Amino acid sequence: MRLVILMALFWTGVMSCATTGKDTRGKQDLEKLANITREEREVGYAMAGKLAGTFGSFDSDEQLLRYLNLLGNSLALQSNRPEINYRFGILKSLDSNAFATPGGYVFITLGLLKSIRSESELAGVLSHEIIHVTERHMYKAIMPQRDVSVGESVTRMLSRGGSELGFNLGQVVNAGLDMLLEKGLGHDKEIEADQLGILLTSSGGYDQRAYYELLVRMSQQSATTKSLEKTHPTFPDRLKLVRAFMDSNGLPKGSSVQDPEMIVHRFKTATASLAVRAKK
Amino acid sequence: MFNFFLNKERRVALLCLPFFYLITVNAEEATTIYVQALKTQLKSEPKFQSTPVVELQRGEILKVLKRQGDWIQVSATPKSTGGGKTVEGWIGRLFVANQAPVGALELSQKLQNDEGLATAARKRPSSYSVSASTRGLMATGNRVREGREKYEFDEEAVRKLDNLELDEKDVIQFQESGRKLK
Repeated sequence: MRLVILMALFWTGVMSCATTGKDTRGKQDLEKLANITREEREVGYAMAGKLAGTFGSFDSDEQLLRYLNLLGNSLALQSNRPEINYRFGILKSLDSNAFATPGGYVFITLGLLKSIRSESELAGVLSHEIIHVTERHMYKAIMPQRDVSVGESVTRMLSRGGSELGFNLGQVVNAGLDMLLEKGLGHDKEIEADQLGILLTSSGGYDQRAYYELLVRMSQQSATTKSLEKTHPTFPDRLKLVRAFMDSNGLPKGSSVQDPEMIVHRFKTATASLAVRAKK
Repeated sequence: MFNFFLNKERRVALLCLPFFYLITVNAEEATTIYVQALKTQLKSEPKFQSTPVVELQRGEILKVLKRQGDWIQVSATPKSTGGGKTVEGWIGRLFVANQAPVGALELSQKLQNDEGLATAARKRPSSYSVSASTRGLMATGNRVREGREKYEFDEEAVRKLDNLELDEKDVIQFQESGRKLK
């Protein structure tokens, strides 16, 4: 008899867990997402400040900055991490390069921005960087590996987890910057960003061949791509793999088509100050 | 009647049943994914340039049938078909995630609530801008400045970026002008 009562109690518990399970899981998912996003943002905020401190932030042209953020966020709307608050900035460096930090801070250098000829090309560059963020390429590499025991998980769950940044933020941030500026994220991560970036660009309605054409042009400008080549696969390798990926996705070959007139106009208007600076 | 429970094997089997039930429920959950892209297309083949089956919107629930490289074969009952009609097709993994989509603003409000910042700056509901102070990142600068400096730190520059006001409707308008999402 006692066993029957025990079993009845056990079943009642299980059924109530099962019926409310979905809600609980939803809350736990949100909790986990909030904690990870907070950590990424904190690391990214510090890295963004240091990138700006190292190169200088080009933020005097508000029209250009707004345009860059509208374009970047419109691409990010297509991505799989809508919880990220993306911010796009410009660094005062004449080398051609772009950087992404965890948490959604993305930077493009003045040098690269000046060599970009269309919104489709710029969309390709920003998409590549957005993929680094959404795939957590850097975050996974620089965060200390933590073996979490079952007991620890339960404690964290019960404490409704505050930030888990129980490490030296400065060290993690410097490791991230070393990766961006010296060691690189790893060739496989760059190829993945090229490839998934092409799908993100295409999903946004842009001609992804423009990105390929930009890579071809950059491969011929060795004077301004030295820092980028140090941290990325070689241009011939990237071009070969991008071409193969476009083929496997049935994407069209040949030259890119020009953006619609309205887009050409807004790109020219937004980047007008760069054209003037380039002539000087 | 109670004799039925006296058999040891039957007791064990009955006690195990709930676990089987929970395992089945969890296994089913793991095959459910959610569209995160604002708008995207379900494709007929696992490649981008293939015939679109139907348009999908952020938040739609998909059942995973098979995974192949960057593509996932799914079944869905999309809103664009008026509901009630289940279709199958392929979607790129970069457009989906395991959890229901949460917007940046919604999550940042949750973070503010967690941190108990009663004086959080009031923002328009559609605004993307969340200032550093409301995100509790003010302390970051001090923590980063600790120790030997390898890289300079310009907090004002990053705050300026954070404080840039971007309305979601402006971003959507920008996205929709002159192009067709795929």
